Amino acid sequence: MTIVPLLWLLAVTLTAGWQKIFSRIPGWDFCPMRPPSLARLQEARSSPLRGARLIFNDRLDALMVVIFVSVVLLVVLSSAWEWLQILRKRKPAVVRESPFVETAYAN
Amino acid sequence: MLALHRGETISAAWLVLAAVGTYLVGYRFYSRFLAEKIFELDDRRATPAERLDNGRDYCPTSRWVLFGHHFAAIAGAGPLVGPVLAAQFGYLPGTIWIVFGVVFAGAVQDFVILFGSMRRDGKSLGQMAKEEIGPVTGIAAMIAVLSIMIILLAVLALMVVNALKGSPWGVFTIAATIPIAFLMGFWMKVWRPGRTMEATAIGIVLLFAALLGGRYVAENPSLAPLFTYSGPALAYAVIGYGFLASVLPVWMLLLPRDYLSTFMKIGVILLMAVGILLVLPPLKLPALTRFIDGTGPVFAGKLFPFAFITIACGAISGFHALVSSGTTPKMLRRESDARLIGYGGMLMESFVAVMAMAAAAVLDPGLYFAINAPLATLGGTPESAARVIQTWGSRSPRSRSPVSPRRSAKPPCWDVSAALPHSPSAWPRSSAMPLARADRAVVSLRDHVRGALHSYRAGCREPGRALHAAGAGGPRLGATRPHLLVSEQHLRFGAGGGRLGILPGAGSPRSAGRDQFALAAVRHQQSAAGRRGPLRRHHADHQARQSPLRAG
Repeated sequence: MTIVPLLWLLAVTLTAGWQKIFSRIPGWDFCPMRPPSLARLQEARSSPLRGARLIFNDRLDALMVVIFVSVVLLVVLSSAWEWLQILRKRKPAVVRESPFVETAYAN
Repeated sequence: MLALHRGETISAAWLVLAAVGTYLVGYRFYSRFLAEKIFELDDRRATPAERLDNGRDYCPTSRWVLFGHHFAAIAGAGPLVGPVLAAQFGYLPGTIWIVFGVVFAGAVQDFVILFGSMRRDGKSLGQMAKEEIGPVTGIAAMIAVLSIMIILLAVLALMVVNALKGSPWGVFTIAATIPIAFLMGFWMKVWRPGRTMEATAIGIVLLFAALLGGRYVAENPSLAPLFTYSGPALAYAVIGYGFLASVLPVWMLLLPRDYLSTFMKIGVILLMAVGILLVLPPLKLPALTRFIDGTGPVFAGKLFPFAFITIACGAISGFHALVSSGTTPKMLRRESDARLIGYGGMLMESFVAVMAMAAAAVLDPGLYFAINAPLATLGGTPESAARVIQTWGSRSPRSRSPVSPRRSAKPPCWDVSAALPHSPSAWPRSSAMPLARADRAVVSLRDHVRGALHSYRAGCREPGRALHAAGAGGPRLGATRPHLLVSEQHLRFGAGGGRLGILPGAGSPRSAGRDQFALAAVRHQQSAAGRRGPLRRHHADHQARQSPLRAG
C-alpha cells in the first residue's frame, strides 16, 4: 500500500534532482556541468561580489543535490535489498519492538 | 466536482468542502484500517511514556495537549508558503496533490513513524533505520536527517526573524506566550494535575490579552522601542529560546506553548474556512496556467516534478518523521492516541495548506503574480510590474521578452485583463488598445464565444479540448487546444460581459486552418456585440440557439 507513494516520491525527487544538475534550460538548473549562465555573468559584471556569490551558491546547491540524491538512493537500494532477502527467505523477518508490558492505567 | 464545473466560476468553498470530505473519509476508513489491521494498536500495552516516565521528556500527556504539541511542531510556515508558490501552475494540481497526497502518503508516513518509534521506546528515525535495516542505511539516514535539520531550521528561523523584525506587536505577543506557557505547564503538572480544561481556558484568555496588549505596546511610543529588535538580535533570541525549550522539562515550556500556539493557528484557519463558506469567493486563478511548461515567474521548473517538490508540508514532508520519532512518541499516554495525533495531526496540516491555496487562488491572477514574482523580474516600479504581468497574458509570439529568451517563445494563453482594473468601464481606451494588434481582434468575451476563445493558441500543435455545437451534449465539431486563454471566472454566464479576449483575426500570418470554427464563431457574434454592446446575461433561449459553439 505504501509502495505507490514511495515510487511517486522517488520519481519526483530524482527527476527534480536530475533537472537541477543536467538540465540545459537556463534558470532550471544550478549549471554545475557548464559555464555560468549569461544572466549570472551579466550580474557578475554589474556587481562582481554579488555575481561571484551567486555562482558559488549555485555550485554549492548542486553539490547538496548530489549528496542528497545519493543518500536517497543509498537508503532506498539498501532497504530494497533487505526486503528482497526477507522475501526470498534468506533472512528471517525480525521486528525489534520493545517487549509487551501491561498498562497500569484504567482504560 | 471540479470537472463538472469546468467553464463556470468555482467558489473557493468547493475546495474547502472537497478537502474536508476527503479527510473525513480518509480518517474514518484508511487510518482505522492502518490502526487496527496493520499496526494492531493495543491500549493494554504500556507506552514508553508510562514505562519510562522521568518527568522530563518521557511524560504521559493528554491526547489533545499532545495533538497541539505535535501539530505545532509539524506545521511551521511550510504549509502556508508551498501552496502559495505552487499556485503559479493554477490551483488544481496543487490542491489535488495536497488532498490526495496527505490521505495516502503524508498522514500515513507520520502515523507509521510515530507508531514505530512508540513501539521502540521513542527511538529516533536514524536509530530505527540502523537497527531494522542496517548500519549503512542508518548512518546515511542520520546524515540526511542532520543536514535536513540544519537547512530547514535555518530557513524557518529566517522566516520567523524576518516576520518579527521591527514588529513590536509580534515580538510582544510571542514573548508573552512564554510566561503564559510556564503558567499553563505548572498548572497542568504541579498545581492542579489533570485539569487540562482550566489551564486551556486561562491560556486562551491570556493569549488574547497578549494579542491585544501587543497592539497597545506597538502604538505606545515609550513601550514600542522596548520590543523592536533588529534581525541579528532576534536570531540570538530564537537560538536562546531553542536552547531553553530543549533543556527544560518538556511539560514546562515546550508542550504548553505548542498547545497554545496550535489554538491560535487552528483558530485562524477555521475562521478562514468559515469565512470562505460564508462569502463564497470565486477562484480567480485558472485551474491550470500556462506556466506548467516551466517558464513560471515565481520559480522555474515544470509542473512535474516541481509542483510536488514545492508543496511538501501539507502533502508529505520528511521533516514530520523527525517530530514523529522525536518528542511526540515519548508522551503518548495510550497507543490508540497515535491515530489522532499521527494521522489526524497531518490531516489538519493539510487543511492549512488547502486554505493557503484557496487564499492564493481567490486573488486576482495579476495581483498574485505581482506579489510573488521576484522583484527583479517585475522591474521594481508598479508601472513596470503591471507592464511585465500584462505581457505574460498578451505577449505576441514574435515579441521578445525582457525576462527570459525562452519565455518569449511561448504563445499567450493567459488572461491579460486580470492585471488590469476590474470594471471594463474603468479601462482607459489606451490600455485596451495595445491588444488590437495586427494579428489580433478584440472581441467581447461572452459565453457565446467561449469555445472560440478556448480554441486559439498560436504555436501550439497538440489538439485537446473538443468543440461542441450549442446546447448540452451537442455533436462534437472539432478539436481545439487544451490551454486556457482566459481565466475561468470570465467564462461563466453573466459575469463575462464586456471582458476582452484575444482571437486570431485578419492579418494573421497563419492560415485559419484548425481555427476556422473559432473564426466563424467570432464573426457570427460580432454584430450582436457591436449593436448593443456586450450582452450581460445569457437570458433568453434564442441566444442559446444562436450561439454556435460551447467549450467541450
